[in-house]
Amino acid sequence: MFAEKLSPLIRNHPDEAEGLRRLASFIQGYESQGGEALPRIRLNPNRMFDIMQAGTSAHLAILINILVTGQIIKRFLIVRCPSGEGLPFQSYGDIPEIVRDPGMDAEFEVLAANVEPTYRLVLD
Amino acid sequence: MLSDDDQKLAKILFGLLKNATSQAVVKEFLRTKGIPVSAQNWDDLYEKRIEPALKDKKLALKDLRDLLQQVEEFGKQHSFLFQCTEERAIGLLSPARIASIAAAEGLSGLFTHPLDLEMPDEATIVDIRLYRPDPQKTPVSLTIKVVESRDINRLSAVETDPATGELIRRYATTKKRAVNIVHLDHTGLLEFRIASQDNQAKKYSELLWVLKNKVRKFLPDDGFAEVSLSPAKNKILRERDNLSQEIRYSNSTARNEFGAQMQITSASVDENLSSDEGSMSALDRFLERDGEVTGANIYVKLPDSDPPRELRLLISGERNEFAVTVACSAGEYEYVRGKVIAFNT
Repeated sequence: MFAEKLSPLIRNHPDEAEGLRRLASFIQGYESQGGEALPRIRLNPNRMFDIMQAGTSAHLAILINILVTGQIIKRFLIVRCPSGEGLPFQSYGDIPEIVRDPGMDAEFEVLAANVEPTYRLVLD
Repeated sequence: MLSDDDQKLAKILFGLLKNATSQAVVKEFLRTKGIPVSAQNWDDLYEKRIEPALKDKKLALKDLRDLLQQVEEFGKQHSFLFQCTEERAIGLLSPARIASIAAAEGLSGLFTHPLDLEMPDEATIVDIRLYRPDPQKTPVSLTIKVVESRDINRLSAVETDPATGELIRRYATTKKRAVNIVHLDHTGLLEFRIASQDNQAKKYSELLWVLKNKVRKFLPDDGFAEVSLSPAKNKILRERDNLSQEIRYSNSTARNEFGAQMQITSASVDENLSSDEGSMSALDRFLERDGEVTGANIYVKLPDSDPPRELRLLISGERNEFAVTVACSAGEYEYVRGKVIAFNT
């Protein structure tokens, strides 16, 4: 499924083809096991950097932009609480200044360092 | 006799040494020069041992500067690794190129007279060293030293305003000198070493960005890739039995492809996590099922150290970041960095 979705992107972005192929291969690994795990995949920028061997943060940003625009992946945000629990949000604008940590049952102030961009595969 | 200027410079260098290291380190250094070391305190050490040695020429200002270089340029730093091709590195290390850029920036004097700034108003390049042991060959490395003043905020009082009911937290601000080092060697390995912070006021990646901008004319971004340390983090865990004579574990973090995270920490920093079979088995199982190590915080055993000594090494944070969080010598730092690079291959 994802090989078909990624093919036009690989064709249209020859400079990024190598990185995109590596991601295709990574996804194909899960597809070949039946695909049940695909909806559960959650990649962060560091993991994507290693999978695609992006080389630099700037190149990673280009690759991620291609993948998001091409509806291969979708970004959401996790606010990582002091207890370790993660609270999901769709955008930075949705994140309040203060959130309640469900693991500690106490409020804490959300700082930039608490926010983790995370990507899931677009399956619908 | 010392000139007035040299006396002033000697006091500045000594002041910087006091802030950067311990009396024991300075005394050990003086012993190597055959200078007596008994002294009741720092002032005594200067007045009774160092100043007379300078006047008698048993010690030179260069010696103090070399010692300062050793003690403040290694350890208590977060390092970020980048890599370019050897060809690109040799081009960047061209003495003519470095001299031309330094001249354009008004920094040519630093090749022979580094600045001894205690607390600069803004981040300042104070030293540029092109190491070229054989004048017939290309330089081996370039080191650029950038010194800055950092604000340290410490909570001094917590009060309640009786009129408004507001809670007011007051902070006392002091300044501290921080030394950052940029080092490119002829193999293409580029290292940014950023002094550890007292308060975690900023992310180290932000400090890296500022430091990169400061030296961008000498070392532009083009051609440099980040050296991801994921292989090192995974190798340290997976081959821990083979590495038991070299390292001791205190904390490991891991993440799998589904976003689940795991952290295992020893009871205290004095203990060895890898001797806890239950914990290590749990981590092994997590890694087997699509997991990757995201952070390895370990102690590196220094060979031939008597008494036995370890250096704390954090391989966590950004992809290409590691930190040696204690003061150490140049040789010790290079040993640890060598370990990080060896684990990463």
